This record gives sequence, structure tokens and C-alpha cells, in this order.
Amino acid sequence: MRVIASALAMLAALIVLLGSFLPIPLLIQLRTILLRWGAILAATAALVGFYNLLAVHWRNLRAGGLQVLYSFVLILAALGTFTLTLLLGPQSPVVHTWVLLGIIRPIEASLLGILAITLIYALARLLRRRFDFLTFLFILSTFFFLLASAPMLWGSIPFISDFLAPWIQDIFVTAGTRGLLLGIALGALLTGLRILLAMDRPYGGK
Amino acid sequence: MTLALLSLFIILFVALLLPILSLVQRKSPPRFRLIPAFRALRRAVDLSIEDGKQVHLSLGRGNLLTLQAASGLASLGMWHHLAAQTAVGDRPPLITAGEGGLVILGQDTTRTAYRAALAEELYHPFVARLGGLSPFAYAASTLPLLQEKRISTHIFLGHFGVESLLLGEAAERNQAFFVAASDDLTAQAGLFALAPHPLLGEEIFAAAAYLGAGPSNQASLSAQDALRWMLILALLILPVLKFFGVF
Repeated sequence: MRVIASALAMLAALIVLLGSFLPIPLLIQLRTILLRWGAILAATAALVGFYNLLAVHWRNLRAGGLQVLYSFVLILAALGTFTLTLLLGPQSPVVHTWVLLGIIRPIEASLLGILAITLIYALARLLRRRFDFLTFLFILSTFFFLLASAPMLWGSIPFISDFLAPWIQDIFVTAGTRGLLLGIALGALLTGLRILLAMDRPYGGK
Repeated sequence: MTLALLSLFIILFVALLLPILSLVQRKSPPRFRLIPAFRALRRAVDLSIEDGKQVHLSLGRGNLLTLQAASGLASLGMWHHLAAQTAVGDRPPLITAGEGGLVILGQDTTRTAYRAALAEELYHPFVARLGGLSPFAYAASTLPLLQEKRISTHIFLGHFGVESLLLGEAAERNQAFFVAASDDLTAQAGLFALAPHPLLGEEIFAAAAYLGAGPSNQASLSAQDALRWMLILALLILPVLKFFGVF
């Protein structure tokens, strides 16, 4: 079974890879079909995950303890939203206006608000915990770019906002960002190849 | 067309390099630079097992059909090794993810790790669970877990956005050890300030090799380094050639 799973995964990956690079109509067609199947499987996986979420919290509910109320609210909210979306569709005003814009978005916005405080707190703690050259540079650039983009009564700070900050942004920040992204892309490439070569098999093998 | 063929050639080159390096490095393992986060993580996992506490891995929410899944998949490569280690502990490890596919893969990886540790009867599918499907829903559903005293080590390795800062902060407040890395640059910037041992750039993909998952993982890290050098050379040489009008 494991051999079949590995062979199927390798074959599918190879077809998608070749179909992305070579302009052969048959390969492109096969790639499109496989990607469509992938999308269907991903949606099915989301449903399996949803069932898993309900099952875990149902177990919590039956076991009792401190998180009973949390699990109860979660199951109720998850099933309610799922049923409403299934019956009325995701574009219905009830789902879109009441559930999405009325409940989910405000809660997410409140978490974003907490995030701002978390960041300030983390910055203060960083000074105490690890004050080295990198930290110094990090804090210096944070304050510099905050200052350069902050709205002033007279508009913006001359020279800093209109010349120095964009210059540093274009030269150093862009170069650093590209370097980091290239590294991440290389890592992603190697991870993909490990799965293509069946060196990593998260689907039932090593 | 030229670009496509060049990309295909690079992929083929790495695909050939990987097994060769894997074979060579079986005999003489390479030496990598020290990454404090992985050394601290190794110690934290050992302490968790000793104390009878739980280890929690968060795989992020990278969609399996996109490039964002790569960090989650790399994290699973490391998890196979760690789950086998923690399988015989007092408490089973725990995985959370914000994507259904990653939950299933997390279950599968954990089961095979348990099998490798000859402890398959201890495996339970609830070892991996789904958080919310949107970034903040995932954070909100994972936050209660981070307040539990029975979990002493949290590993956040995968595709996260800024919501990872909320998770890290909660782990820190609970005095639990945590290591966090994301392929998202905004999250990396925030985690640099928050995490005790920050991981930057592609270090997220080095976890398996650094935690001793095997020579093939070390080989892929060496291949990554080889590619990096090729890229640096190309970046240096190509502008010079262009300047002299070679192409």
C-alpha cells in the first residue's frame, strides 16, 4: 500500500512539474485535471478537518473540566455557521452581513488590536533579553521608519521622509527582503523535491 | 521557453544531487553552523519527556495546493523524528493546524512515527486537530491550548502571519518554551522581537537536519547550500556579462 501511495504521489508530482514547464498539450491537460482533483481533495480535507474539530470538542464536552463552556460555544457556533452557509449560500445577506461582518470580522479586529500591544511589549522585552548588534539595528530601523512615515502637523519630515527613507527602502530593505525570499524559495524547492523523490513521505510513510 | 528549460535543468540537477549527497554524507556527516533555537528546542523536548509534559507542534495554515505548504511539509519531516521520541512519554504529543490537509498529514506522520517507536497502540487520531480555517480563527482556537500547564514546549513551524505573535506571546506568558518560524516575512519580523531564539529566512527548512532526522535531511541542507552558492555566483557573474554585452 505504501509503495502504491508513494508511486502515485511521485507520478502526480512529476506530471504537474513537467506540465508547468514544458508546452506539451497532453501534459498541460493532465496537469489541469490533476490540479482540479487536488482542489476537490483539499476541500474534502477541510471537511475532514471540520469533523475532527467537532469530534475533539465533543470529547472535551463529555470529559468535563474547565473548557466545557468553550467547547460548547465552539460546537454551537461551528454547526450554526456551517448549516446557515449550506442552506443559504456564502453570499446570502444573513451569512455575509450578520455572521461574517457582524461577528467574525469584529472579533478578528479586536485580536489585531491586541496584536499592536503585543508588538510594543515584545519590543520592550527584546531590549532586556537580547541586546546585541542585530537587536540594536532592528530597533533603530523600527524607530526610523516609524518616524519617516508618521504624520506630522506640517506634513512630513523633510529629507528623512522624502529622500532617506525611500532610498534605504529601495536599496537595503529590498535587497534584504529578496535575499530572505530567495533562501525561502530554495528551501521550498528542496522540500518539494524531497517529496517528489519520496525521501519524505508524510502520506503514510516516513 | 529558455527560462522554463533552465528551471527544469536546475530541478533535475538538484534531484540528482540529493541522492548522491545523501549517500556520501552517510559516511561523513557534514558540519553545520550552530543555530541556538534548535539546540534549545532539543533540550526543551528532552525536558518535556522527563517531566511528563506535552509537546505541541503547530503546522500553520499553508494551503497544500500552494507554495505556502512547503514550510508545513518541512515541519512534518522534523516531526516524524520528534514524535517518535515523544511517543513513549507520559503524555502524547499534540499537533494543531489551520488547514484540513495538514491535519491529515500530521495524523499520518505521527502514526508512522509511533509505529517506528514500536508504540502504535498508543496512537490516537485526536493527536492532530484543526484550529480555525482563517488566521485569527486559528489563533483564537489555539490560544486556550497555550494556557494549559501540561504543555511545556510549543513549536510553531509553518506558514503563519502576524497571528503567530499572539500564539508566541501566550506561550511566553505561560512560561512555556517556544520556538517559532514562518516563511512569511512580516511574521518573521515580529517573531524576531518576540521569540527568545528567533529563526530567520530559510532556517525553518533546516529543522529536520538539525534535530538529527537523518542523513537525507542533511543532504538536502547541503544541496540547498550548493544552490545558494550557485545563485550568488550567477548574481555576480551575469551582470558583468550583461555589461560587456555577452548576451
